[in-house]
Amino acid sequence: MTLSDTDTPVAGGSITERDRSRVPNAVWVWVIRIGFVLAVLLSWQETATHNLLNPIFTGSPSGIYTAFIGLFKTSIVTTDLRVTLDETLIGFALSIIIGLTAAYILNSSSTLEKAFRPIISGANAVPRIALIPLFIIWFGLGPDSKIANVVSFVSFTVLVNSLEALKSADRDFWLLARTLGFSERQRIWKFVVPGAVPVFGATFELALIYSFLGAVTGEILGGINGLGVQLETAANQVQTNKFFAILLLIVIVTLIFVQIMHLIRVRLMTWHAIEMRGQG
Amino acid sequence: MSMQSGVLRQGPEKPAGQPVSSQAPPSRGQPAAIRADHVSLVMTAGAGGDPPKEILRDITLSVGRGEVVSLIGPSGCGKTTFLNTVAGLEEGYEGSLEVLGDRPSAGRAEVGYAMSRDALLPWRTASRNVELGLEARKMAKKERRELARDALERVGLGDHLDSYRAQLSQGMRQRVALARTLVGNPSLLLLDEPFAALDAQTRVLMQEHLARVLTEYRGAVLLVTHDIPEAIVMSDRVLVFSQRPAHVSKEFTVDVPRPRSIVKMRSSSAFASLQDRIWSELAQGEEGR
Repeated sequence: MTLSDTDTPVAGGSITERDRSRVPNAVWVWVIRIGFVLAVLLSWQETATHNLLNPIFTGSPSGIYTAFIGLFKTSIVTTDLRVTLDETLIGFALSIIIGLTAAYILNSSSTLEKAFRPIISGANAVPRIALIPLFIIWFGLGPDSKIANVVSFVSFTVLVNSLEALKSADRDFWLLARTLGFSERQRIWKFVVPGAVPVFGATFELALIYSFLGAVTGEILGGINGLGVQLETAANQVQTNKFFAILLLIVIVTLIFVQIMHLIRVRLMTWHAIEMRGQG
Repeated sequence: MSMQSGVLRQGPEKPAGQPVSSQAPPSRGQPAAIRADHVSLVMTAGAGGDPPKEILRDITLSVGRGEVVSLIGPSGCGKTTFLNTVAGLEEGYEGSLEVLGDRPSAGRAEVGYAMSRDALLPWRTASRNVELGLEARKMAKKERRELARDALERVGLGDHLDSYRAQLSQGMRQRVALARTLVGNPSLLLLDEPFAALDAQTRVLMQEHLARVLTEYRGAVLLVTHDIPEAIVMSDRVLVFSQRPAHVSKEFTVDVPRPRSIVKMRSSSAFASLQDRIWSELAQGEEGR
């Protein structure tokens, strides 16, 4: 007697008819995507050329392009971009370390967790932008106050999401860990943390975007160097094209880093992709 | 392997209240795998202020080395709690309980424990899930991997070593879990309704499978189930638990040598009569509530 008759593997198999109709047509996706962007850029360009809207205030795609190329001949790329990146990445790293450590500690003691829950909720409700002037008083106009700003923006998000991920561990895994003779620490590392990786990954991606936001916002409200400072300067001088060019630079740099994070996440989570696909 | 159409004789029934353990297990001078003497368990009031619950009352039984014993009883009667007590997961019981000659404690290498839910880690392949059963001990990675492969081959999953949970059917997942339990070569297997999560057809196939695995297994098995046919075909003895607080209300001996043919056994008249008698014993327990 064999078991193979009813025991067929389930995942990676055929796509049903219903599913197929839901698979988007790749060609149309690109046609719509490029078409939309072109339409926006063209009508923007046309309104600027024909003075339908004042190009001094709105800029124009061709002007932004020229300004963007021009950025690479200035210290904006060599100095300000570096300053902003340093602030963002240092703040991001600190936030991850602080958030994860706090989550790990709170997860290991229900007393501590209960005690700190309302405090965390309260602190998280503080409008963080309002703290920026305070950080400038404490840490000066340089990068330190921006790093503090990033940490205040991001570490709570990391803490709250990671704590949730750690706590959502399966009860059966706890039972299994005990019967197999694992210590409490081994249980966390072998049974809980790997299962929380998908949530960690999504949280880190979000955290990275918020880190850029925190650094640039801090610079706009007061700083010496950085892309936010340059944004503020361009706006004050009504250099709209340069303003958009710097904005474009921020978007491109952010997307590059988020994409790197995303690739790391996908590599770590082959199992998760299979799990999502397999349940049909 | 010869499939004998063993004559299904029923051993002497023992009325409730008598010390069931009087029947000496087939030990060879070794202590029994499990020896419970008047084990009682009262769950103390929880945080919600519930009154204490008496779960187990005076349970006396023994499981010999190499013996397969089933526990059957009304749902919620405490059979899983008893199994967990033997596994060392429940503390605070009264009476004396010896598991392989020692007090029960969780995480002993010589005790294997499996539940109805497979609890496979979705981020590990089948073979890495089986390795988990060995990771709490000091063992070289290479040796672990080889033992895991052997264990998976034994349950017929030799060509699914690198499959993730989502790529396996429910029956296959259950077999991976079984391999994880068997890989450390425990002397005592504690199985808590191992097939309850499976559909009827797969369950019968898994019973066949476990029966075949157990023919090569020399240790003792305590199997908790609510499935009477499963209890009969798998075990040397079937113990019926009463309503809560649970005690052993009756014992049935299944006098068919193993390996058995489950299909042939199921169609014999003696099987049907034994099934009827266990069923009426259970039904009596329900009425006596």
